[in-house]
Amino acid sequence: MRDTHEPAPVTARVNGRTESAAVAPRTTLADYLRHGLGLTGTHLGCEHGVCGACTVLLDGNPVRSCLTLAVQAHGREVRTVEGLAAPDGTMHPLQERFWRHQALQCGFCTPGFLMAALAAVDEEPDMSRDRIRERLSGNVCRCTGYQPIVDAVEGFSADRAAEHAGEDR
Amino acid sequence: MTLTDGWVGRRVRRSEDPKILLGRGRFVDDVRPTRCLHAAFVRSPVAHATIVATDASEAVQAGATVFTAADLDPLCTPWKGLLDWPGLAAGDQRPLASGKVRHVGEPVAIVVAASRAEAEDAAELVDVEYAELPAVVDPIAALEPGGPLVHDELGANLAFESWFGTKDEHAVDAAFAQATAVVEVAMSTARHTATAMEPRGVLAEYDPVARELTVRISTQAPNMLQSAFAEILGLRENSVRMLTDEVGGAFGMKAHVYPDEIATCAASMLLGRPVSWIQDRAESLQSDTQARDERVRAAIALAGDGTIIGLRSEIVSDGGAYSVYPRSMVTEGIQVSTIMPGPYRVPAYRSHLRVAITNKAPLAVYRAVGHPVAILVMEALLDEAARAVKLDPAELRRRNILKPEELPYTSAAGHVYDSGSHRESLERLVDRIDIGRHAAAARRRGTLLGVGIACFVEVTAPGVAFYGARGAPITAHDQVEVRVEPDGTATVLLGTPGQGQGLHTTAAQVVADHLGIPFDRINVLSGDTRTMPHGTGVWASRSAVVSSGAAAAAAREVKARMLAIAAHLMEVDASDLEIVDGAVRVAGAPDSRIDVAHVAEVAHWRTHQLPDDLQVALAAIGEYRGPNVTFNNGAHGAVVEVDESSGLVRIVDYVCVEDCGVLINPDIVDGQIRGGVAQGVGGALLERLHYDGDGQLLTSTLLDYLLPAAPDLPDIRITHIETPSPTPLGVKGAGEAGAAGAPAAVHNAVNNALAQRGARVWHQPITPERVLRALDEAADRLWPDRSDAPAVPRWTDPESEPECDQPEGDG
Ligand code: FES
Ligand code: FES
Repeated sequence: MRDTHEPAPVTARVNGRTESAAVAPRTTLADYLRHGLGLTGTHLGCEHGVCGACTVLLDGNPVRSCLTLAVQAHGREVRTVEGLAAPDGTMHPLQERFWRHQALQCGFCTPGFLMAALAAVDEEPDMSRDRIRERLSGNVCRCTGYQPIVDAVEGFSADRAAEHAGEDR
Repeated sequence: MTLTDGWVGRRVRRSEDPKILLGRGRFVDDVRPTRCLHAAFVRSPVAHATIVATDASEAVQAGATVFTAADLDPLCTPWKGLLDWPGLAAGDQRPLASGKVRHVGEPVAIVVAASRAEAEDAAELVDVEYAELPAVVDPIAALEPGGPLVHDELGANLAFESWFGTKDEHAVDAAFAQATAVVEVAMSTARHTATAMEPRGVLAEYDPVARELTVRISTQAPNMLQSAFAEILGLRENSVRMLTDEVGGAFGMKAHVYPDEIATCAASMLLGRPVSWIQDRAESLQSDTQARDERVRAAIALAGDGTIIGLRSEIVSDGGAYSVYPRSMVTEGIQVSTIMPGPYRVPAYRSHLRVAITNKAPLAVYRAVGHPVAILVMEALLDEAARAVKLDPAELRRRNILKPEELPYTSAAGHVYDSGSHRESLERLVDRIDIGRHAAAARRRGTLLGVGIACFVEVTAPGVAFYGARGAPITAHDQVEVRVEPDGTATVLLGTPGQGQGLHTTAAQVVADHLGIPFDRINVLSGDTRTMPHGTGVWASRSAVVSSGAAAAAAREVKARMLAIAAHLMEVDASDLEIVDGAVRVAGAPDSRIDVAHVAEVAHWRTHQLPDDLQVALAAIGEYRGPNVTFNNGAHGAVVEVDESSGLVRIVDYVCVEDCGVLINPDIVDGQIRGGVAQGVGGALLERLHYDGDGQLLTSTLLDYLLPAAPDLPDIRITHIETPSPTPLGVKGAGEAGAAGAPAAVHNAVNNALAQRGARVWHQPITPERVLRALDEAADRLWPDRSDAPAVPRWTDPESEPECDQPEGDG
């Protein structure tokens, strides 16, 4: 059996770049992203899977990077908050919406909300406000009271729908 | 006073946001210097015990360094928060427990290793032998003589006792004797905690050669900590540098000296290397300051027409094991006592407060400090009184609430309400709530519908009286530097950084108006005590008033210098000039103008064009001067549905009317209100740090300690009234108003629903179990097991107890 502390190889596409490293098997994906790759935009609010601050997309699905091991990302695609903006730094439309609606105060929860909301809107493009609240119930924000986050996600869904309607025409 | 004419008053997007949205914010754990070591703590697993022995040999063998009190005590002066309140007593606090542990989670040893994981592994190997002592858990029982003592040397568990209110105590007795109706309530709020999403953390770097300590820390009061750390660690204040960039929420909880943070600094001093400690969530629930642990009995006396003629309250505050430095453990209790009369005419009031020492984490200030409890009790009394005298609850309030012509008004507890719209807030609230709109849905769901209202006043931007004048290193004023760069852009250095309130944005808006340079040419910086002017941090809803006030003062000074230079260049009188949108122009002749950039260029590089006696430095530090406190006010209304089968409460509508004077940025104020309401709803319905009979904390994860999630809250509808305060900008604080009133509005709404079944709840959080029990008991279906409601103090007789004058407070 391998030593539990013996580094294991991980190769993953992170925000479109291939990253390879040897990490201790117990290293969480969050710690690897934050300290191995310097992607400190992903935050840790509880380290036990409740607050959602650490949410990243693994092959497009939202996961809690505090409960996911770095080795589980091997051979897979990881997307973090740093991977949302365009290469020239232009904000992703969801980030724009968060800015416009002031959907953040301290911003500690924000990366997790962005990633969770993106996945939610991908799956359900036409959510009611109540449904948005339900879909985001796995993320905690202590500052905003959620309403502006719901506004931002609602606005983003509408932007997208309008865009798609434009494309279909 | 112009209310809004320029950048102030606009819903400007926050300048803080892009970097956070892009994942480029810098929180404490985002910075790791080379050769950085990592710390973990061994914490007490029990509430009260003697430390018999500590064996760290295995941890040391595993390669870690372990320090205990014996190692750190020689470096650190012990501390305790002793404000100059008569009789306030507290035990010493040290970085690591020495001799005894006094609450679950108290740090006993610091373990330092090459990584956090290794430090945590090694901490598991430290063997501490405890001899358990009986735990002091119930604050009322704690005050009985003869029980176990938390601090033996104090001889009692009473930290503080005082009477507040009307000087003539017989006036209250007389009022109650004459009353047509007297109503009494016995209520409690549960211990809860700020739960900032970014846990506390510190990165300490000590330079042994220069004897300098650099501390990157998640705090709301860097300059205060600079002074406190220097004092405790025996360093010069100019050798202690505090750095803060982003802070992930604080809410009053990050305004204290914490043992683990001092221990991390001391470890860096002993090791001569950077040491980082990042708290985990269990540690935060165990060791962050806690709040709202109040038990109150109160009674109100009314005349036949519903006029309030007297009020009394009996309060026991559970202060926990230590009095935090420098704010102390008594602020919350004092404000429960002194805010209770609220926006109402209360001619006679007496209040008895006792603060108990128990084996729990220290109680300190948390958003709206004491206000939520005071307002809850007063508003519950008013609803019961309305039932007793058969008046509509709004009408009863209307008959007693202050009218504009009565302001300024000195409350029976000694607070001076400087300005406000108490009556109008109530009327606007009543207009906006339409319970009928929700009746059909409630009927369809078979739930009980209830509406609750709560009117409030709130201490904001208090002056030096509360802390500084009582001996703490907490000042009232703040300094802000404004400087114009050679290209005509402006840089603003804030003494007080924020933790998400958007202070950079609001400061830029204020400076834009007072300097005449557009918002987007202003850069705001904060967060390094070595280079920033002095500020006392964010607390008591003060930043908008104090920091913006100081920024405006600095901007005006720099503007005057620019005008003098421009007057010389344009050969006109300075008094004929104005600066608008980055251009200096002759008032009334907008074509005769020069750019601010030109003035700035001359002031920096072409001073030979100017007379010798002209001041050319386009930089100034402004300070805030204003009244010692300004009160905001408003009213909250909640509509709830109570499900009789599950006991669940759902908030279906929420309205807040808020008067915080002139609004600098309405979106930011709205955000403050919504966030505060969310925290207030959390306290009303969900949040409870549950200590069992042995003082063991049962809620040490976010699965047990419940926070409001998105589905727990409705959209919150906000109405603003702008009654200017007598401060320089007409602004009042707004950060805590949401949290202050929400618990009362929600509680009254639930009781309004339950009253249809003759039931009531009296304790927060209003859990489903408490609702079901209340419904069953009202129907004579008694439960076999005892209720989980805490004991509430009995009345005590006012004899020769000490009495305190009550100035401003911590909002
Ligand atoms: S940090 Fe992962 S869920 Fe909280
Ligand atoms: S913005 Fe602070 S926790 Fe969400």
